[in-house]
Amino acid sequence: MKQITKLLLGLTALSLSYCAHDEEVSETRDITIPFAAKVGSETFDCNASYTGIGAKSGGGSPIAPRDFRFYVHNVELLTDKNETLKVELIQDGQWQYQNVALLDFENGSGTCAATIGPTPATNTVVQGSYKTKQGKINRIRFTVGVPDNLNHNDRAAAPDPLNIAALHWNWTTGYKHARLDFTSTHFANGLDEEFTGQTANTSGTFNIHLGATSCTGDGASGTANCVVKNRPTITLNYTVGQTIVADLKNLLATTDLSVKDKNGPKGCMSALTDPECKGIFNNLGLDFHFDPNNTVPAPERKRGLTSGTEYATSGQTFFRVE
Amino acid sequence: MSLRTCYTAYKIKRSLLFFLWLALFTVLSCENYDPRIVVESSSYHWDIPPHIPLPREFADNPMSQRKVELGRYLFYDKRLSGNQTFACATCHHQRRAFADDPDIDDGSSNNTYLGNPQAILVPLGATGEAHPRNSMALVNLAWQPVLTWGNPLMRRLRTQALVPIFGENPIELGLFYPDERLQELSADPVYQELFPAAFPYDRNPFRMTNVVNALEAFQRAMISFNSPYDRQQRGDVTAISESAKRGEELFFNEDLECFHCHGGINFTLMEDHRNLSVPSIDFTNNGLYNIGGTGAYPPGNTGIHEVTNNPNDMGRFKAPTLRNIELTAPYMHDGSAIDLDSVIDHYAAGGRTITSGPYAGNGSASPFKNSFVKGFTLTAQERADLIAFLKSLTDCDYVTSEKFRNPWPVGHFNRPSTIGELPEGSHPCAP
Repeated sequence: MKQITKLLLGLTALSLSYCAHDEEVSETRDITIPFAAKVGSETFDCNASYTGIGAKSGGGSPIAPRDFRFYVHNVELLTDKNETLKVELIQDGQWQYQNVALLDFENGSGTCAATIGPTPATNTVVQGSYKTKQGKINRIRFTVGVPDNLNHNDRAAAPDPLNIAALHWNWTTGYKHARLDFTSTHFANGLDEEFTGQTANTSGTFNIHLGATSCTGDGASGTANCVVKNRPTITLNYTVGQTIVADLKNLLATTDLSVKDKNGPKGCMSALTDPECKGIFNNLGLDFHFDPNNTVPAPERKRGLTSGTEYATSGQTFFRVE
Repeated sequence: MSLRTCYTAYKIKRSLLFFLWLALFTVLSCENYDPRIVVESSSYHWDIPPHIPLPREFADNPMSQRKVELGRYLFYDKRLSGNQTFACATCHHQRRAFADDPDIDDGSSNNTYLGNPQAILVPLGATGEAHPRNSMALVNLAWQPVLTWGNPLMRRLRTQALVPIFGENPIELGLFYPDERLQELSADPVYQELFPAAFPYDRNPFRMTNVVNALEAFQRAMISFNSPYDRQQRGDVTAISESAKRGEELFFNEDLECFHCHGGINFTLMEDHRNLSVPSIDFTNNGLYNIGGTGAYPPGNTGIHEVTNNPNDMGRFKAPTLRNIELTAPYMHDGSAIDLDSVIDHYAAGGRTITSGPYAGNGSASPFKNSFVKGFTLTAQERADLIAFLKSLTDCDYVTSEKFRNPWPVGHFNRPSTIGELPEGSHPCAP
């Protein structure tokens, strides 16, 4: 009996020390993480146009913006002691839901009025709080897109910011992780005869729609499974207060905007047969298993066990810290 | 820290743990949650012959006559398109068993299709973009486990409705500000009655989720089981001609093999109802294209391959229902067969050969082709018999029924006139 008492006392002591330890380090701090959309060194502006974009020899191509929206989720701060501080997002009922936030830089003015479903409202911050742990914050990590567990929800009944029609990707019963659309007079090259169902591309439209592909399963009960997820996880050196910049010029650095659009929709809509996705995906830090001849099963693409198809991995260049 | 504080903390932790378990349990139950369970208590009366198995009912959208009625008004409402020029019905006409009607100049007909030289007619969307796919007939969808020509993910009509409403590649209805439009709809006295009646427990019934639920209910109520062939099956031996009876024999024999892909209640590979434990789902390649001998289909129109990216899924499409097939020309996913004769030519050859142009190739040699598409020969009489059988699947009650007709008053912007609503001229159901 004495032994049991001792044991109980010991356990109480243990739990006491556990409780004490727990409370000592649990300080919650609010954080606002600013994001900015840029085209090179210039701020993204629906009323501006930009020159020198893309890989065309002799100085790139001119572009006029249309859209610049993307989701991020699982935002985390990392310390120099290798601790991970999860940022719990404020549930603001508009831009943030669960662990997902929408960054929206188009305001529907100027050339952005021509995008699908332009909105005057913009959002340039992720807001939340984190619990301090050992060490000094020196990095930030987040994943672009809508996470798997929300990607196949009931979109007609979804809460903000998951109910924006322009960001639904209905044919895969999911979302566009990112929507970065623009036009270029260099890309306005007439009829693309290789794609059925498209009319002349006289507007020079170049749409970048990032979304999960290679899907099977039941899209109505939320159990669809897309094996090519196309959600890059970004880690950047970061101190609290700095701004995370998403740079369209860097994203397009390896894409020649003066050539004719090939195979599939105008620009890059994430299909593995869409050649315009090649450089763009690599600049997002994603492997892109370009497969124009339709030869490689999707699961193998995912694992990178391909042969005979283009396969490239590189660090992302779309995001940086300023 | 006092023992008391710690105990309180422990209690909080314990209750947190309990809620975590509860949450986990809920999530796990959700994993197994299948909305396709039968709602025994649903009082909806399915208007079907006794030998037809009842469709499933969805726990998250049980059928009701009021939802069906609301869905009918919405199906014919041009306000579901961004520029208010197109409704669902613009590409789905009742007298064509809800396939597109190329004879009606309502903006959706496209006779100068430039993209695919093989395509004869595919519809245009509200902003003039050509659709790569032929409008499907809408018939007995309550027994269909998967919707559309080639998307294995599309299991529910309410999910599918989001594609034409919001899709932008191509734009079909192009409704990109649904909230503003729902505000407008909520000011319409017709809807002020219909929405709350259909969704009586909803404090704000004017929501997109209710729009697609009502559209689902209406389309599930669109039921066709009264063709001459159905009547013959129910015992009326004079309902179809002797020629059609010979055609029936041909259709169901092992020389032509038609029934393998066009079997069951609705003459398709797909079937679902309450008596099935697992829905029957299959997509198939019928040798329509074989570009360069690789089995490839024209880019942008490759079937479920577009969704799965599985190379073996190249050219796999839904084998559509043959009910009312006489009324739904042109045929195939891209509208590339102009009439029933060309469809029979295609299957008689075991696949289509295109001799020149970007899509040249011998479809019968496609590596992805369904083995039942093996070719056959028919005498002129046999061909006529087969077509007579296919025509015996035309349900004139369905295409003239007032239950599915445009409910808006004549003169309303959703129904400027009644032109094109009812069969006329050479239409087999014309009076």
